[in-house]
Amino acid sequence: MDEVQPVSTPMQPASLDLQDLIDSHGERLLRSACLLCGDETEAQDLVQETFVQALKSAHRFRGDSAIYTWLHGILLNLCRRHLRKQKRLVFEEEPLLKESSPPSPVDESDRDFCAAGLAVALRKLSPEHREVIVLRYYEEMKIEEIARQIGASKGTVKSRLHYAVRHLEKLLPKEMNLFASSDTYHQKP
Amino acid sequence: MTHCETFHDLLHELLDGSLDAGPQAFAQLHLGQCDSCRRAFLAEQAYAKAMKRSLEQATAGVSIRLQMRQDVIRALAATPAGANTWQHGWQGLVRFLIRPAGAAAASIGVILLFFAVRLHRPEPASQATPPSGPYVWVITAPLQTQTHVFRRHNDTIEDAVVSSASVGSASLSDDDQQPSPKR
Repeated sequence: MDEVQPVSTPMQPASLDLQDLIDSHGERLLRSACLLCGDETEAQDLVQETFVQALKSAHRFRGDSAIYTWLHGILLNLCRRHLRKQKRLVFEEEPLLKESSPPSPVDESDRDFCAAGLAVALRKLSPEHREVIVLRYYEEMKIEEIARQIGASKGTVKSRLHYAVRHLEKLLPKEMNLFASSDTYHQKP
Repeated sequence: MTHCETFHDLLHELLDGSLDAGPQAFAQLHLGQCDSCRRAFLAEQAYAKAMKRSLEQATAGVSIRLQMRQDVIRALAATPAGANTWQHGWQGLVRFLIRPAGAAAASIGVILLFFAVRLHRPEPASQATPPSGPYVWVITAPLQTQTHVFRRHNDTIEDAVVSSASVGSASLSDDDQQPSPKR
């Protein structure tokens, strides 16, 4: 009955319970990983590795930030490393990222169409641009939190966000009017 | 920088509520005075909501795999007991040092090779002197097996095709003087 027994490994402190971590943060981390790396299977592996790393370095968590922010920081580093490796492989072999075209607006509802189109467009962004989009709009992090998380200045984050949104706007199908109402990004901040 | 540009620079932090008192007062004041910036502020709010909704929708179907917990425990158990953070730190340090050292060694090697080739290059041949004796042109096409030997004979140019092996033996008669080449 492994499912009900408390997890105790030599490296796991009593304060971090694996099942609690998975139940509380697993889904959200997985969704974020999916958006960051663009593939669900790889995202599952990255989240698994995030938990492994978290439990191994639990003694270093001082509680300065929320536990989710700490976990997400680990995930972000793992995603970056994974994407760097993948980039090297892409030069040697065929691209590994699965390319899928957005569904036709006739086939699905507008909302599904927007989401699918956005997911495809997001995969075409550079990792740096994708990162700030996900952190800002999915994780709803503040600019200074993003700056801390990615190790950049607030100015860099705002500039990167500006160009990321403009690039995303170009990548999205014209039928998607997600950006139609926004004139924020037509001016350089 | 105009007031509108300053406002745009502060827009995200205004939405975050993370501005200091001075910039916050400026942004609030400008928001009440400038229609264009107010529209941009509201548009960014709407945009953020639309993005959040679409990104959640895009990942709606995913869920943590059932054996995640077991996989994590297995991965933790598979980690060697000595593989602590210090070991990772040392490995990282060694990698950090090896990479630049390798790159530097490779660069030095290329530079040394370049100078070695330069030093061992043979001296350029002295001014070519016109050959004495019978005047012939020997044209050997490097990738062909035939060798053409042109020679002047009785004010006409004769073209003889000889194989590369027989070039040395294609002796010219003594009555061939050094003529001016005629084509």
